[in-house]
Amino acid sequence: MKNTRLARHSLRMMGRYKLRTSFMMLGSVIGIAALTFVISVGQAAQRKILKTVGQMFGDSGIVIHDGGGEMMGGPHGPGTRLKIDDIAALAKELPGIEAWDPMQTITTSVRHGDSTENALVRGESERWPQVWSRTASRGDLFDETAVMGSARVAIIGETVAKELFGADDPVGADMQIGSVPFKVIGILEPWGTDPHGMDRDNEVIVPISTLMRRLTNVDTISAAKLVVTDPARSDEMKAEIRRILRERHGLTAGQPNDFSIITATEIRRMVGQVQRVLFLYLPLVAAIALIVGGVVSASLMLVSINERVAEIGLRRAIGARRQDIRLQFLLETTITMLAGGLGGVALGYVVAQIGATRMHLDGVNPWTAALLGVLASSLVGVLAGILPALRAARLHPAEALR
Amino acid sequence: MRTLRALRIATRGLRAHRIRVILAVSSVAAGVVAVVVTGAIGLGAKEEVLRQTESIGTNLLVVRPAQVSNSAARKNVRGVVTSLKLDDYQAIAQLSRVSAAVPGFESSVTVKADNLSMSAMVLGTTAPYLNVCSFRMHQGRFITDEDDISANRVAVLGARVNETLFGEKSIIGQEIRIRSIPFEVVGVLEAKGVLADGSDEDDRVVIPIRTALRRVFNSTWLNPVFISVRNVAEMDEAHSDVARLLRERHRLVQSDRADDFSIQDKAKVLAARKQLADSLTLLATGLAGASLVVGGAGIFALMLMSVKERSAEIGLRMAIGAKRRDILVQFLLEALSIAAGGWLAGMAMAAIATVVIARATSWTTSISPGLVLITLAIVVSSGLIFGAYPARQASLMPPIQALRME
Amino acid sequence: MIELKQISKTYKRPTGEPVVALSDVSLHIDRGEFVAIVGASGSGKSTLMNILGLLDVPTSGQYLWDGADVTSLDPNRQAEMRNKKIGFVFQAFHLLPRTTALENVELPLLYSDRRSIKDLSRRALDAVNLADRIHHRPSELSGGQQQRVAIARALVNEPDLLLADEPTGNLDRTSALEIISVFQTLNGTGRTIVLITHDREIASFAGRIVSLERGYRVGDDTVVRTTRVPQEAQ
Repeated sequence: MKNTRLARHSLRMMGRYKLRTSFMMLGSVIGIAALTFVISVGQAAQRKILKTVGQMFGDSGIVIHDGGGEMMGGPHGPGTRLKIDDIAALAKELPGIEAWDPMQTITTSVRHGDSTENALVRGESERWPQVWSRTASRGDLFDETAVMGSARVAIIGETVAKELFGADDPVGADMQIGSVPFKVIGILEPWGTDPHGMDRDNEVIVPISTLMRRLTNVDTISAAKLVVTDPARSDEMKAEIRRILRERHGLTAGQPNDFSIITATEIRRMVGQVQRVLFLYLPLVAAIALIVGGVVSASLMLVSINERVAEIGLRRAIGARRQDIRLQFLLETTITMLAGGLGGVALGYVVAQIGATRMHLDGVNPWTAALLGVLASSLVGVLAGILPALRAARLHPAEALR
Repeated sequence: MRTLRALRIATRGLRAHRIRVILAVSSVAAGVVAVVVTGAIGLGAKEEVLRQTESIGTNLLVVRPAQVSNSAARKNVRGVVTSLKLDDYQAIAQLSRVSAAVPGFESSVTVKADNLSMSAMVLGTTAPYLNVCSFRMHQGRFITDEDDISANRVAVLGARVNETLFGEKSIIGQEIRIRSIPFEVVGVLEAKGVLADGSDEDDRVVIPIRTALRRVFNSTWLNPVFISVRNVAEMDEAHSDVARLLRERHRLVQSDRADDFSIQDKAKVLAARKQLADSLTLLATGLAGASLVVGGAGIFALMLMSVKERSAEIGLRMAIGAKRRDILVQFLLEALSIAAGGWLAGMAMAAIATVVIARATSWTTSISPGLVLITLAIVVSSGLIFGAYPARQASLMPPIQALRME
Repeated sequence: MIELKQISKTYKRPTGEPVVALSDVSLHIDRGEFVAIVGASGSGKSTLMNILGLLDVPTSGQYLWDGADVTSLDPNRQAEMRNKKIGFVFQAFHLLPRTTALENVELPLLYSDRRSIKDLSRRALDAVNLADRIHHRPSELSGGQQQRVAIARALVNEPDLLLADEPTGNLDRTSALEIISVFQTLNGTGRTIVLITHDREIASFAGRIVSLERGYRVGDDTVVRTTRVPQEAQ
């Protein structure tokens, strides 16, 4: 009964001293808001950066090349080469393949009007932009119908565009690949040189069906790329792919693979390194936010408490016991910290959302931060709020009143 | 009587004042530390991440001979110009913006070992190639300058070639035949795996350039030359430097002919790197900003509190004869001292913290002058606003009102 | 009722030197007395009051209350006694600033087990003639009125002893006389009052004057003719 009475009294007092109470809360609000922001934005940014790094540099790809070693002078194998059906079968049998694209290439002359040059022509499926992380910087891409209908459409690289069209806009114009007329529907995003010094902007991309039927006469592909959902399992997948392809190609033990499989080892290593940096950086910043928030919080609380030493002395003079003082300040600190904490999480979440939108992030999750923040502010509350109050309560009231 | 009471209030306030000063200074210091350190390590983390991406070849330039426009089919691989020579690459290596240049002659050839054969890219080059193109050795050694001078028949295998021709066998010392010429395998490169564009470099067999030019391909010209640029930020300038040099050497300037070469960088990779750098900068800025708010709030709040409570002191001083200006000057100085003291303490701690973190993580952390100035500006302005402004308000009140404000 | 036997109190200054505040002071106070403890500043009168009020403990000596030894009570029991048996009036009033007169007077009751708090508080304020100001805050009351609220607060728990430390120190002459008059009235109804002051004239309103000088008791005289507060000031 008495405790409830005292509790209500404490609450009423807190309401009277709005400015002081706000100041006590301010510390934890801002500290926790900052912590929430840092942790949730940090985590989301980290995810996005790693994902982007992986995408940009291609960590989730497995490439299968036609042709491996050949045995000389021995019995030749059934002579099977890589086919689109092989890849389709892999995609069906193996879990964890997000997308795939078959590819066949020829080097031939391309012509527009009087200009002509040699370029690499790649036949791909309509899924090639996602799979090879390259797209058209202008114009359109071709779709499934184009592939099914062997449409004569082409997306040309910047070097081809420059050589054949000069300053004119190639999109919509006609060009010849070999002796077959094509329409240019888009310009390839610039890529630069590849490790062999080949100019990746001196390429033309056409539907693979068109290439296989109208430009050459083969039913095999030179390569295919698979995008896997879990890059960490690449090596396992590589083993499985090897097993399935050997089976499909009827290869017996002793015969070498007539294909090669390459996974993204270097990229994964690099992504791992980047990950390590980020995993170190964010906790560091969070720790700083925590410490600073704690110091500021503590300062504000200490200042508030200090002013009230006389009040504590008075209360003790009129009969408050130490546990009454303790109860009062415990209540005040708890409420302040709770309210401050909740307010801080809310504020931090709102600011984090704003920050996330500006940084094009998604999936901002405040719970880790909230938990940490509550723990931290409890600690600060105890150290900077209750302990000093208890110390003041332990003084002889005469000293406190002085 | 009122004066007596005011005196007592002032004395009591003064004792609390001492503690409040310490708390104010530590809050200012904490805020400064927060901003400066998060800014510094943000920078460090970003530099580290960008450094990690160098192995993808962000600072690589590749020079190729130009394609011959009328494809009068020559015996060479692509119908290219033959003017890129060994002394060209040596000249390029001398450019200040270039950290290394390496010659190359590459062609797709059938390579045989025991009774297996495969198609591989045979590349003739020199020893620095390992660094310039960011390879590491898996086994054995790379080709050396001695190998090159003597045009030795030694070969280093790419991972895929090794896997196909030799499997699990130990291959150092084994023989392979390139165009029927026997070579001794001295090393195997570590696999790089497939890159974003689907290309890979593990299908190579590396031999000394002179061996390649003289014995294997019978050529005197290069295709391509690999160049690593010292500073990624100066890629474009380096590009121009190399172009200018080659035009001079190939006597194109006088006759104003088109380049007989082409220089390319890895545009996509560079673009990706820039995107990454921007994301990191944005993140670091955001986080430093958050610290700024926290520190700033602490500074503001404490200064505000510390002045509000002293209205009575102001009234008292005026009551015993202080002029308005004296009050203003006193409080201004106090506020600025807290601000300055906190800022100095904060910068000192920030410097120490930065050094400690730099040592622990081996990142290149650095305290940007911009941050230093920003924090100083904030600290000083908050001192002025929250220190002097309320003091001025209080000093403008009739003293008795100031004394009454509790 | 109260017996102080050879009370001494020594403080340690921050530099380590000891300061003797009280030296071997003995005092006997009966129920219903109105005692003034007089001395210059530094005489130890505040220290004596603190010990009397169980706000501080003596370095040596004994403190008996109704025969029981309360010299070294544990803090909780001390608090209990301060709540139930002693009422304080301070020079600086020590009212809680943003709190109404009524709420200020309630404060001691909150720390007791008593019920009907509002009624008791109202009655206490009534007894000091502030029934019409019970919802005023200290900033809305004059000095004299504030001190009267403090007195009401001191009385609300019906204590045996009323301890006043320079209660008129912060008041003008008229208000001071007002307050002294209240004390006299209270004493008239049987309340034991101990008043600390440096002002001999104020002390003359009490029934007995105990003089202190530099920690020693130097005088203990019954006031022959207690000054009465002039009619106009009441």
